[in-house]
Amino acid sequence: MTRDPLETLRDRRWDGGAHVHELEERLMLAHARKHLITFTKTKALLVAVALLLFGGFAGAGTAHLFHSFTVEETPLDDGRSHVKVKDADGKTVFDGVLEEDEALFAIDGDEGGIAHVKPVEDEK
Amino acid sequence: MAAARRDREAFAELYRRHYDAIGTYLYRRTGDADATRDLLSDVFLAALRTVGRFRWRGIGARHWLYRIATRAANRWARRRRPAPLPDEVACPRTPPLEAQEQVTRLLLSLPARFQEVLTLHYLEGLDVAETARVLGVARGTVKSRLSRARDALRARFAEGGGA
Repeated sequence: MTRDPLETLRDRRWDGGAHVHELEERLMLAHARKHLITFTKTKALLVAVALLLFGGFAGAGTAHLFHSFTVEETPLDDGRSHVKVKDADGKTVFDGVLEEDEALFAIDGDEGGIAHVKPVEDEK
Repeated sequence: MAAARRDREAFAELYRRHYDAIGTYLYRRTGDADATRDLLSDVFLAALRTVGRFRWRGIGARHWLYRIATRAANRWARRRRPAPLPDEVACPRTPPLEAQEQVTRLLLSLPARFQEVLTLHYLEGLDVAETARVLGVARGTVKSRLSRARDALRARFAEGGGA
């Protein structure tokens, strides 16, 4: 052992091998999907405005329910939340973790539409 | 960084530039190749999720990634089953890999706040100010943690027969 125990670890270097490329592929796929699955609060405001405008054009200011989802939000120890969303048929359409300041995310519809989902506390 | 928010190739470049450094940091923290691979995935996926919120507040891209990696390594360290301390700590004749494993076990027996400062400062070569920025604490806090962490490591080292 050298004078400083940590000295031993200085020679430890990471060689990722094939992992470098595998992870890069995963990241690039995730990058392509990123804008469809996460929105920060700032963006949530913009999306809310966009939906309001759309509602105004479509139905003279009335609200429309396009789909209904069941959202289960489980707080994690580190401040993030695990969110699981099921559609009306009970099929899981989103299962992931939202960061502390993420309040809205979107789900791709089968027919090319996008549903914006904001988890809210059930008042019942 | 601004480009990495929108541009796939820019994010790929950020990833390629920092993969080895962050991997080495995590490997030194965990001593476990499988855990390092998993944590690297967590770190860069978290970076991808949060790159839109990245702001230059005196912290560069590598230090921002160190910050994410530190949180991931601390979570991993809290979850893992504690390994018993080595019966005897490496001597000059101990093969390098075995010695590294023994020192990693000593390091992992310390509280996470000591593991992070020791690794960032002594192994990754960050100075006190940089370590403070990565950890989001005051420089004085880093100095006092380093002092207490060194003492704790020496004590563990002595318990293991390395004194």
